[in-house]
Amino acid sequence: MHKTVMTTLAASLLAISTSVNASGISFGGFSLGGGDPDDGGTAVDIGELFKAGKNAATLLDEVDLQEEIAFGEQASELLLSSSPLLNNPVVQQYVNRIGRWLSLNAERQNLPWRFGVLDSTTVNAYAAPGGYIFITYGLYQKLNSEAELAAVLAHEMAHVIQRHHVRTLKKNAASGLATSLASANSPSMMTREAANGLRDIWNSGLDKDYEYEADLMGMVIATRAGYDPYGMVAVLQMLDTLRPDDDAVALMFKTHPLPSQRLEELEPQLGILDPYAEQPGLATRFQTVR
Amino acid sequence: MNRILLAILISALASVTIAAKEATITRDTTLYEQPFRDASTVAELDADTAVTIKTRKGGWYQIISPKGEGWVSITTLRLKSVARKNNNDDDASIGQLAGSGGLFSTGRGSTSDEAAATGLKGLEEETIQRSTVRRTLTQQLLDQNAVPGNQARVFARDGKLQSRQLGYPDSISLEPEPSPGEVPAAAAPKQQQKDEDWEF
Repeated sequence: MHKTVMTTLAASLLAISTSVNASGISFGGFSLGGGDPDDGGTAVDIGELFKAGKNAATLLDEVDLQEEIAFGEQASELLLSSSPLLNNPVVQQYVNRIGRWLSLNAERQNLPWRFGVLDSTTVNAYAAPGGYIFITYGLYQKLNSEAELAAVLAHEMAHVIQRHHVRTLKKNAASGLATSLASANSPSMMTREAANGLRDIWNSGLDKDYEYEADLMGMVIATRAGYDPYGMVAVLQMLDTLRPDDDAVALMFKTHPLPSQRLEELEPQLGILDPYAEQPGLATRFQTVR
Repeated sequence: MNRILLAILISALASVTIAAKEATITRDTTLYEQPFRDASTVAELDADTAVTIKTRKGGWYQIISPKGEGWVSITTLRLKSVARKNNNDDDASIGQLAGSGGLFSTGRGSTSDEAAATGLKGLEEETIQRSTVRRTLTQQLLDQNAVPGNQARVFARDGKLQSRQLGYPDSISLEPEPSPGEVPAAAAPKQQQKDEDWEF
C-alpha cells in the first residue's frame, strides 16, 4: 500500500490536475480510493493512510527504488514541460553516449539513467531522482571538451547516487521547514506540497555541502571513466568568468555556491588525481559534434 | 617521423589547446619549467600577476608571465571575465525555462527579473494541464535517445577512454541503496536495464 501511495505521490509531483468523479479522486491516471482497480490506475486508499496518522514526512522516509524512479520520471516531466528537449539528434546522442559510459563506471547501475539536452540558452544542469540528468544547451556551448561535459554530467549523477533531492525533501518535511508538506492533512494537499518542494529545490538550490560533494564525486566518476580529471576544474574556472548579473546564469548562481568557493573546496582533493592527469580530454571530438 | 606524429597525437589527447586567455594568479606561486612539481623553477610569481594562458595539460597551465614562460598548477589562477555581451537573446532564455511549453518549441515566455528570481514556473495551471497529456511522449523521447551499453563501450574505445578503479576520498560516505520495491501495477517506466537487454 505504501508503494502505491508513493507512486501516486510521484505522479502528482507535477500537481497533475485532479478531477473528482463518482468513484473517487483521480490523479493523472491513478485512482485513489474507491476506484475500479482495472481502470488502468492503482487503486489505493490514501485517505486511510492519513487516518492512520501518516503524513508526507513519514511516507518520504522509506522511498524505495521503484518509487524513486517514478518520482524522478514525473519530476523530469515537470522540467521538460517548461523547457523542451533540444531538437538536435546528434548532440542528444553524443550526450547520451557519454552519460551511458559514465553510468558504467559509477554506482547504482540498476537505475534507468536518462540524459537530455534542454533547448535553453540559460547555463545550468539538473538532476532528478531515479537518474534523470539534464544539461542546458547554453551550458553545453560554453564547454571546451568532452572531459568537461563528462564532469558536468557526472556531477549531476552524483546528486542522484547520493539521493540529495529525496533527502532534502525528507529533511524539510520532518524539520518543519516545509510545514505545509509535513502537516498536509489531505491527499491533494500533500501531493501539491511535495511538488512545490521539488520545484523549490530546483529554484533555491541544494545544500552547499551537497554541491561540494557532487563536485568531488563527479570528478572521481569522470576520472574512472578515463577522462582528464581536471575537466571539472576547467568547468568551474569557466563558470567563474561568467557575470552573476547575466540573465542566462542568474538561476545557476542563485542555486549554487560561487565557482571560486567550489574550486577552493576541491583543491585539497586534487592530489589523488595526479596518476590520471594524462587521461584524454577529447576537445577535438567535442568540437566536431554539432 | 611516424613516432613523432604519434607522440603529437598522444599529447594532443592529454592537452587541451585553448585560445590564448587572460588570467590572474590568485596566490603567490611557483612558475615551473615543465608541468610537474620536480621541474626546475623559472620564477616565483606574486598574487595578482596578470598572465596569458597558452594551453592546459592535465592539472597544469602553460602561461606567459612578466617573468617568463612556464607552467603553474591549475588552481593557482583565475580566468578573466569576458566583457558582458548583449543580453537580448538571454532574456528570452529565462522565459523559455519559465514555461513556454511545446515539445520542441523555442517560444518566448515571460522575460522579467521576476522570472530569474522565481526560476521554474512549472506549476502554473496551464503547465499542469498540458503536462499530463505530454507525459508518455516525453518519456518515449528520453528512451529513444538512450544508448545501449555496447554502444557506449565502442564510443569509449574510439576515444581511447580506459576505465579505472578509483575509490572516493574518505570524506565521502556513499548513500545506501534503497530497497528494490515492487513494480507498480500501472505501466511502469521501462527501467529494467541491464547492459545488453536494450531493445529499440
